[in-house]
Amino acid sequence: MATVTIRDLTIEYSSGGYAIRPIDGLDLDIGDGELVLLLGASGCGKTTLLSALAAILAPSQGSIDVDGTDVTTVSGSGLTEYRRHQVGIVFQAFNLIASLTAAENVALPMLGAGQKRRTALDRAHQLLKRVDLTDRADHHPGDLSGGQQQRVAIARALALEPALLLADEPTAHLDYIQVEGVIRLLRGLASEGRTIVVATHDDRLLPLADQVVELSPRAREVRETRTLALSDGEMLFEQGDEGDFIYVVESGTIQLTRERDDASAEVIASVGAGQYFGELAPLFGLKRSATARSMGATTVVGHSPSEFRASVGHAELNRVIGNPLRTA
Amino acid sequence: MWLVSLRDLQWRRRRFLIAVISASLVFSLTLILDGLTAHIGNEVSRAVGRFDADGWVVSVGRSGPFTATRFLSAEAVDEVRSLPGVERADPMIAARETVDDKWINVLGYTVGGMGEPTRANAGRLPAGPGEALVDQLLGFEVGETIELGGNDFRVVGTSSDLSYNFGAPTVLLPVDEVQRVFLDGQALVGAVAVRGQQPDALPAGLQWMTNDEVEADMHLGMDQSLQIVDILNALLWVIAAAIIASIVYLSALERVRDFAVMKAIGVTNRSLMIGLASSSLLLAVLAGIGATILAFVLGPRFPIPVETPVGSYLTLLVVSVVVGLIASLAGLRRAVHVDPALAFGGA
Repeated sequence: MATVTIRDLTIEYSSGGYAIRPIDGLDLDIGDGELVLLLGASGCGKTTLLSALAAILAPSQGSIDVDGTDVTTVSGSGLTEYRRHQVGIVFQAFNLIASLTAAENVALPMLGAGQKRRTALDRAHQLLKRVDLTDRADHHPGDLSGGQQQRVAIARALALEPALLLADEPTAHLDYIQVEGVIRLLRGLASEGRTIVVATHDDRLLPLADQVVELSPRAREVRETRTLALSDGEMLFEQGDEGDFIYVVESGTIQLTRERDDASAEVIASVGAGQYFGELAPLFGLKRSATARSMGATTVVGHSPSEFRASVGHAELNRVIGNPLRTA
Repeated sequence: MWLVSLRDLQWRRRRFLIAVISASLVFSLTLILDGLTAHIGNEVSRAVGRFDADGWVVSVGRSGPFTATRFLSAEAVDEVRSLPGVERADPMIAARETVDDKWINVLGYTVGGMGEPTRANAGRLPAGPGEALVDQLLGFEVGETIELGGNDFRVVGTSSDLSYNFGAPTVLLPVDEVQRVFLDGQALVGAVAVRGQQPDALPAGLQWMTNDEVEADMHLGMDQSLQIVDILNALLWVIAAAIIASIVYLSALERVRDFAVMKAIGVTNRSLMIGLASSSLLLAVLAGIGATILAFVLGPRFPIPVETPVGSYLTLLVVSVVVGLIASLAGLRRAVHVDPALAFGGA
């Protein structure tokens, strides 16, 4: 069992020259033996968070405490020990080694930890029995179905009896019958008291969870229209904020900037009177991809997504999405 | 972690086999070149050593008994024999001839004297006029006839290890037969092989050469060729290393995700490095063994005898280990720098 405490976790990386912050100030508490689902769309930071929990990705700030150890500060042999004995990982694409048999794949962490080959293989066979794959022990991954490969991957993750099990999209490549097997297996492992964190966008797994963490930004439900008068340099919204209103400039100018990975700001557009901006984040539940700031005294009118949709119509909406900064 | 490396080699066995065979061929060429170089040195020593001489008397200004074309009068032999300290002195003549479009050496020696082989491998030694002892490299059988200088000689014996001058085969004739055929019967000799002490003074027009000087003289003109062989040898080592390195590096590139997974589950860089280096070493050592076998098979098919020294085989073993380790460096570097985060994400 493992207790996980995450505080003010921010993970930032560079993509195409821009700073991306999929996890921004996350706080999370996971109790002993809990099964936690990290739910969200692709790119919302589920795998990033799992990587940080596995001490593979160093966060920009914040802490991840696993059973009293801040894994963001471990290094060298401490890091190796953590990866070997405290955390087990089930990768999205199974990531079994093609040249090894199922039993050898399961034995791999034990061999890496210096155990004797015979001991490691005996234990691997026990684990394969546990995931009901005794008869496939000597098969290579290429001879196994997706579900069987996933169970081998789970057995491998359990090889050194980690207290914390991380599973990245464990149902992503499986049919519904195989999904059922994996669900049963994960639930069984959680029932034994192991702390399990599952990253998924598959909401069929929801009934499994003791706790669900939604990482996709949920657009704030806005219904009203609002008019805002901004002074020179005043910020309307910031890159990474959740999307709420779609704005139309009544007078003045709004400058849109995007943060580069060297902390400088790149001007991506200036929006003048009669033009609208900031529509994609509220329409698609995304984070704001730029910061909006007034250039001189500016007045903007914020519309809710439903109001905006109704006002522009379906055909126009598609043109808006394909060609932003259009005149309202 | 050797198990992972072993399984990977089995998994990619065709490519591994091709690499072993390719590196074996290259390594075997280095062994054969070593053998050729050694033979060229050995045949010179054998040719000189067969006379069991303590020194040689030649004309002043001529290069050496086996290489030059200036002659001494037959009386010079008697003069040398009479010098104090000289126990024995026998004449010799070295000439060149073509047989079956091949350059051969013709060596005249004193029957029963210095320069006579101890025995023939087949048949017997020449005992009189019209008889020749022929190098086995020429392919003659005892009883056949060989034409030298327009004269037929009966092959009474054949022997090995008679070649010199880059593996040129040699025919041994009594010295007076060489005079008859190649010097129109003139009483001239090429040099005098001397057993005993070096005389304090020699008759005018004669000079003394030690065995080392005679051998050095025979090597003149060959040194440049042997340097080329050494350079080719060095290039072959580089090619073998490149073959092994490319296979190991290619495998490392293909296994980037495997390395990332292994690192993510706590396998250390050290273990990865040991695994890759042992693959590379195994490849190199198997190539070394293959090269040894190939050298034994291919060596006898070369027109010049290949005498690969035992030391070359041992050197090959050591060098192949070093080559294997060096060749694995590129792959090691790739493996060490793999980001374990690569293990996450889709296929």
